[in-house]
Amino acid sequence: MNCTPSKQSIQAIIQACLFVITLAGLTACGGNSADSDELIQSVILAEATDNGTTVESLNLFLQNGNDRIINENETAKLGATAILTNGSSSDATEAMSWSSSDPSILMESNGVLTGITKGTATLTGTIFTPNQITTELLINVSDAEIVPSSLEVLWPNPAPPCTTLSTQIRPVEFTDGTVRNVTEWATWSTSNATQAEIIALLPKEVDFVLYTDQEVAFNINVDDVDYPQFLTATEAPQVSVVLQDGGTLLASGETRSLQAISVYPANGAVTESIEQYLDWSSDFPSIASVENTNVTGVGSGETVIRGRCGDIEEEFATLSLDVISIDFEGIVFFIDDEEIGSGEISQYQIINIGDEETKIRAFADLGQFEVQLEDTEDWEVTSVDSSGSVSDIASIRYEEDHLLLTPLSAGKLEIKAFFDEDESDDDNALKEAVLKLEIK
Amino acid sequence: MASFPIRPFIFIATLLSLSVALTPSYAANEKRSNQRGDYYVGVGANYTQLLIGDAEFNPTVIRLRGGVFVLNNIALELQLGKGIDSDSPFDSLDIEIDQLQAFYARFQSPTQRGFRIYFQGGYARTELLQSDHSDDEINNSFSGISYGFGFEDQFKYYKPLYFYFEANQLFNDEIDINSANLGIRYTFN
Repeated sequence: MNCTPSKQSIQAIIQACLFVITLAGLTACGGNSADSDELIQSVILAEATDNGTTVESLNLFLQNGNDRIINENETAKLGATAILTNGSSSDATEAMSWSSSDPSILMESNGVLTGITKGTATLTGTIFTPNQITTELLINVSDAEIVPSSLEVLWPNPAPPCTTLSTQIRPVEFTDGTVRNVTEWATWSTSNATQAEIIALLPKEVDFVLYTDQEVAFNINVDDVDYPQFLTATEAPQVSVVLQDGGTLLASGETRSLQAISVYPANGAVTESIEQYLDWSSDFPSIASVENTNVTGVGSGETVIRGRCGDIEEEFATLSLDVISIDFEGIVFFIDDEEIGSGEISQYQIINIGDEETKIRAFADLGQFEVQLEDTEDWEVTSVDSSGSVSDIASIRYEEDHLLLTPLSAGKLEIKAFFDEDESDDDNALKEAVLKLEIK
Repeated sequence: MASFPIRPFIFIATLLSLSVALTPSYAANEKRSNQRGDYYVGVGANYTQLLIGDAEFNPTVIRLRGGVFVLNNIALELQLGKGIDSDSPFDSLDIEIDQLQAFYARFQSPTQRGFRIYFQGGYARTELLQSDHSDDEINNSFSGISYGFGFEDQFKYYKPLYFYFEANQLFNDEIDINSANLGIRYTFN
């Protein structure tokens, strides 16, 4: 048999390969995605079926608490609870698809209903995962007006400044006889943005912060009618300040965030981190500087970090901070408990064959204090003469913060220890020192 | 869930195949190579790994193959498979391989002491059959570029016959279909 490939056979192979690749490419472009989706959906359903977490029914509702009624020009978030086959229930709001039977009466967009004009419309909610269930809810769109000329706001009491506070409007009566929540419908604003901030508008409540101990004017607008309201902050909460991860000690060059914990009595002791609401300053910026809620050590010494709340003169929170400078002065070794001084580090230290285990530790000398070096598995132990390998000369056990060395035969070893000055990947911050050992 | 480490093996096998193909002994070992015009058939059992979402299914397939060498140690191969069993992590869903077709270009090393490795690349189409309690059966097919590697061991007393073990990736996208095959292959010289 002639084994030399002819031009025709090579051409045939190339054509076959091109055909396969083209066919694969064309086929891969279509159909697979829909089949994958169908299969993944089947697996999700099977898992839910086995776990008893398929959806048996849905409860649809308005998150503002009103019962199947919305006013013209009112918007309201929709919610859904899924009742599962195992009897439990779960929030299904995010998984829902919604539609309105008559968008000219009731419009739905991204889970938010808007009343357009008086009438009734059917809201349809469908969940597709893990199984498809559809439920309908008849919604009445009303053109009624609010009866009372003023709204009653359920202000929190106490209402400490620089603390997250929540409020809501007491349900109001409408001309059609219904009593409804209008907190979500209302537009909230303040006359002076530096005195108060609305931080969240939720279906049943509004969250805000006061930055003053003066009276704050709020304006609540519902259905194009303004309802002015006033609130004065009560006493300041008790606030304790620490650095993140605790403590009041900061290294020069180190940046850590401040944590201010307030405690005030409202329905029991309310505890909250409020550092983001305070204006922070340092008595001595040359020792520690503050930016937003981060404090950075600049030079060694003591300073006080002060937190103030808006225009309130009274000091809100203080932190006495010690800043220490870290000046790397070298790595110090200890053989057992004997320190190898900087003058001796270039000399070979003698260890005798027959000695018991020798404990070798290293410390970074940072001027005002020392830090014991860990991660000994990163240390490099090498044999420096031709007498044999490291394992021939000594048995070495790597403990968390020290080496245990048992001499076996004569030879010279070098142990290189490392200190990462800023624990970063920056190689320039990596300091090292070598301990020379001679086994005799 | 166990994961099937197909990619590192494919990489290593490809390197081995290339290294063997580039050595001078390749041309010199004509007796140990399949010649142009040789053809073969084979049959094997196929343990499959279907990774769908977080779930793994392990159906078993019987896979037939036939091929012809268009050059020394380079063949075009057709494979046909039929599912015979399935292993599902769910009580309420079973997925098995209804049928499988693959068309590969096969690149193999010469036999060394009865042993050879090979790489195959081409196109595969896998048709899955899912069934649940309602006895409804749904077919989904997945097709695209497929590749794999394997090694063969020659029968000592019957040279045309080889044991093979190979690993393939049949489909890799939103779902993954991998397989491990064990079988025998007979070469007609």
